Amino acid sequence: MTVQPFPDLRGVQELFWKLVTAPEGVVPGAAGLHREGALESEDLSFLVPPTGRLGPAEQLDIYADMYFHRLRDCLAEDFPALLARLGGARFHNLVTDYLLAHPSSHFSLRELGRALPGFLGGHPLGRELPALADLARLEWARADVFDEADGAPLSREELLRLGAADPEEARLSLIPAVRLLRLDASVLPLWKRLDAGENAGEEAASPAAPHGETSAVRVWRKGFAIFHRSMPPDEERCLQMLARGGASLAALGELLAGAELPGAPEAELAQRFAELLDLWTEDEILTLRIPRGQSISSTSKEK
Amino acid sequence: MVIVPDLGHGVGLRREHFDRVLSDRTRVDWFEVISENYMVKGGRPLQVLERVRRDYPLALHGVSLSIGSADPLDRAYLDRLRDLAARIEPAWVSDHLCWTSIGGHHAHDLLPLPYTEETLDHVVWRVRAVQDHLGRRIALENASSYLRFAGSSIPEWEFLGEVAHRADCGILLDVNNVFVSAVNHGFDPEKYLAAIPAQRVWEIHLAGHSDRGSHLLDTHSTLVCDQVWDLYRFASRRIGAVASLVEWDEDIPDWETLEAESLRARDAQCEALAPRDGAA
Repeated sequence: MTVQPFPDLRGVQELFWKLVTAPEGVVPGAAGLHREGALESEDLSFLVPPTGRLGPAEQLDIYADMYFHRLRDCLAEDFPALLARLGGARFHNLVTDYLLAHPSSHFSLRELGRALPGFLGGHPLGRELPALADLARLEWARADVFDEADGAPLSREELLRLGAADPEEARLSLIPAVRLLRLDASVLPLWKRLDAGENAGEEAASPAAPHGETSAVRVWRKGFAIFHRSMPPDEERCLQMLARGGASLAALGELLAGAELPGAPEAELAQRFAELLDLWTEDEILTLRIPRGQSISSTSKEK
Repeated sequence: MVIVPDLGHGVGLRREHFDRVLSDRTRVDWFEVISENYMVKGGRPLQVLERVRRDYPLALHGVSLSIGSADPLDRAYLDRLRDLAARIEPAWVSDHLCWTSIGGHHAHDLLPLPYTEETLDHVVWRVRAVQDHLGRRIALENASSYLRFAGSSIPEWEFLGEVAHRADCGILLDVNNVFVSAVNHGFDPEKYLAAIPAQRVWEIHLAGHSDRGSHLLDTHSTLVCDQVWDLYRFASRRIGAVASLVEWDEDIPDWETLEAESLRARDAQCEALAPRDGAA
């Protein structure tokens, strides 16, 4: 039998990668590569010589274990409710499947879980428990806003000044650390129970709300704290308008009057609009959409 | 040759200690952070970093440069590292002598290199390219390893020294990693330390490891062990006073325990550098 020659640098790294990411371990991985013709034999000593204590595959398995456990721990940190809902064994299997389909393609572990909610939607676990993918979407949104760009939120006083000066022109938008979602209606109560450490168990797997009923949810960062809450339809419509490219106070008012509260008395409209503005400024999610080349202070002075 | 400052004795800054570090002056001299954790758009980590930087010297220590990868250098990564360095003005930027990605996939682990002439040329060229891109020299750290490649023909200590010489970069000497690899591969750790070019060493790392029976694992999860303290004193005698840092990344202890470990490093270095009996 010929001894396989030691590969060049790229060959070493490509083979190493295939072996340590093989889902069932290094030995089955080497057997698979041998069957495919990529290895002349299952014996890996041409790559890694045995030591007195460990064979080639055992040495490579150290890296295989570290690879999987580090990435699983990272996903567990970003999706704690999903882990609590699934339990360790099923979460472990989900991560195995996910990493096979979506090996990390970004230098930062922060990005590792970005595709997990979508992946879960097409995974057998997601089909078995339809709310799971939305639970993951909620958790990813919370993780995503954690280190999103800082905004310059408008205070209620600043908003009033702008509105009084020129409600047609002062253009508002959302701070970067806001995400607008539409989730299965069972997700927020499920998250709350899981976050409180309650065993959601099988009861939570069968949501009270029939699947298909959704609720609008916003996730945001205020200061350094992460929040989420459900939204009524009028708030969702307004925030969607702000997220799409901003809107003036006047345009938001028209949206409320025309689409959300048609025919409502003017006083009722004004009261609802004031409630929403109070809520958004209290949550610090509104900012001024600044024309290129202007600062907030210069914009304010112009008003 | 770059003259780097002796920053004294520091620790790796981890989020578990953010509040303590911000609340009051600590007894450590400086901090090091994982670069990638701060290559973000905003939020608390960046704000904490900037506040800490106002009060302490700081170094950026990366884990994703992948200097030994056969893939092309990730220019987007380098741009972000350069931007972060411009924002923080660290004492220096470092990463590891390893590879972390291939085929566009990232292992998020410090993977071992075959120490061959091909790899040496490749790493030297890439360190130069990185330094050109960043507009600053970098330091490379020896990583712990759990295997040696059959094709390796150069001892790690020679490889590291040659990279530093030919690429004109610094060395971040991790004495715990030297110890872990020495036990795993059966070489003499003092021989390793004695071969490292002292004038290239910008920083020394200390950390704890775990004994897994068949091998030692570099877990950064415990106190520094006695053998590593001995090696640190040995290295200090050879290299002189150089910035030293304690890393602790798993089972992170309370601040006082970590700070005490840093103070212990200060004492150990003082002891190593004190004139010996009979010395003039």
